[in-house]
Amino acid sequence: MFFLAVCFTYLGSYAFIYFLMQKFNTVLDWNLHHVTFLFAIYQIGFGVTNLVMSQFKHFSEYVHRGTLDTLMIRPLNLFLQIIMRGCEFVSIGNVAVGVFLVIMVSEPLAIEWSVVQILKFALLVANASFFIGGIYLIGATMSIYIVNGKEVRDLMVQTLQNYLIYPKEAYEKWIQTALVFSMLYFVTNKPAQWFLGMGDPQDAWSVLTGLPFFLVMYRIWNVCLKSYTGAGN
Amino acid sequence: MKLGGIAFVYRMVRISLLSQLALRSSYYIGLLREFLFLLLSIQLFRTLYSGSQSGLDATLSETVTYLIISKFAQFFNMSTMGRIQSRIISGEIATDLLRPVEYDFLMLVQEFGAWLQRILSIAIPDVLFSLLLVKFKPPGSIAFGLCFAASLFLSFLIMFFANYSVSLAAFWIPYLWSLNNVSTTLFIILSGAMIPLWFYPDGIRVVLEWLPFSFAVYMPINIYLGRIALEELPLLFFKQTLWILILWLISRFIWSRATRKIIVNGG
Repeated sequence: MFFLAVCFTYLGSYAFIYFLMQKFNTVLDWNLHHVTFLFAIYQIGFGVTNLVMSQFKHFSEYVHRGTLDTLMIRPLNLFLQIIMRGCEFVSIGNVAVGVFLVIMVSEPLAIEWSVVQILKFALLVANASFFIGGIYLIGATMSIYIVNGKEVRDLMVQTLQNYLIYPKEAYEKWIQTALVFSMLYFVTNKPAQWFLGMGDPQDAWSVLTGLPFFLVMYRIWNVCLKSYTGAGN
Repeated sequence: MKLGGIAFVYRMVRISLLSQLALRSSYYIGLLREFLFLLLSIQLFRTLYSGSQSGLDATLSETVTYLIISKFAQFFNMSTMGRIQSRIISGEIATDLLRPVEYDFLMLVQEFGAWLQRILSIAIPDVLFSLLLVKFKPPGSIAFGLCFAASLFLSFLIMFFANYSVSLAAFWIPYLWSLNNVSTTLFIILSGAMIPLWFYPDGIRVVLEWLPFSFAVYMPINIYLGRIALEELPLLFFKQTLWILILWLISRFIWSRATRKIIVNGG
C-alpha cells in the first residue's frame, strides 16, 4: 500500500512534466525524453539515499526529543547509529518509478545497455545518492542551530526534483552561477549530460563529485556537533 | 451568530495564526523557498514560451500571473488529517465530542486561521516579491477582483470539506500516511495548483473542469485573469456552492458513520 502510494505520488509529479513537454515539445535543445531521464535519475538517487539515510530526515526531532543526547553518549559511531535506527522501505517506490522511466526512454535516447554503460549508469546513481546524502547532512547540521533544519534540505531537494531536470541555460545567468557554486548542478544535471553524450566527454569528472561532497558535509556535520550542547540547544 | 460564538471563532483563528508563526526560522526559509521557486518557474516558462510556436491557449503574461496568483489558492496541505488522526490515537477525540460545537466547524475555524496565515505570510509577500521581477496582470476589473476574492473563499471551503472527508478515514485506518500522500497528489494534479489546466491535454481538461478541484484553484484564477465572462460568473459561483454542499453532505455522512464506531475506554 505504502509502496503504491509512493509510486502514485511521484508518477503524479511526473505527469506535470509530461503535460508541459507535450505542449512545448522542447526546452532549449532538450526534449521530453531528456527531461524524463533526469527526473528518473533523481528518483533513483533519492530512493537509494532514503533507503539508507531516512533517519536523517528526522534529525531535528532527534534534537527536540533528546534522542541525540542519548546516542552521543554511546561509544559508537553516531552516523552509523542513526542510519541503523530505521530504513524507509517505501523508498523502493522512488527507485521503481525511476527505473520504469529509464526503461521507457532508453529506446528514444538510444541508450544501449552494454556492461560499460551499466557501470556508467551505476556511477551516475551513486553520484546522485552521495549528493542527496550530503544534502540530508546539511539539513541535520542546520537542525543543530535552528528549530527545523529540514526546511533547508527540502529547499535543495525540491529544487533538484522540479527545476534541475531542465537545462540550466533555461534560467538566467546568475541563477546558473548559483546552481554551479551550490553544486546542485552536479547532482544529476551535468553527469546525465555526460552519460547521454550531450556534453564534452571530458566532463566524466562530474560523476565523481558526489562522494567528496558527501565527505565534506559529513566532516562539517561532525565539527558542528561539537558545538551541540544538549536537547535545549 | 451570537457574540460568544464570534469570540470563539476569533480566539480559534488567532490561536491557529500564532501557532503557524511560532517557528520563525522555518517561516523565513519557507518564504525563501517560495520566492526561489517562483523565480525559477517564471524563468522556466519564459524559456519555454521563447522556444514555442504559436497555438498555446494562454499568453506568457497569463501563465506568469497564474503562477503568482495561485499562491492564494495553494492550501491543499491542510493539517486536518494529522490533527484528527493524532486525536483519535491519543483518545482526545472524546474531549472534542463533548464540546458544544460541531466537530467539522471546529476544524473549519482552525483551518481558516491557517489559511489566513498563509495568505498574509506567504501569498502577499510572494506577490510583492513578484512585483520586483515581472509585470503581471492586474485583475480584469474591480468587479473581477471582488469576484476573485469571493471565489477564493468558496475555494477554501471546497478544499476544507474535501480534505475533512478524507481525514475522517482516520476512524477506520490507523495510519493515514499513504492516503494523505495520494489525496494531496490527486488534489494538486486535478486542481491546476502546480501548472494551469490549459497545459493539460484538452480531453483531460474538459473532464477536470467539471470536478470540484478545478473550482478550488483553476477557476478562481481564471476569474482574476478575466478569462471567464462576467455573465458566466453567477453559474460558476452556483457550481462552487453546489460542490461545497455535496462535499459537506458527504463529510456529514462519513462523520455519522464514524461516531457510531467510536469506543472510548473508561467512557
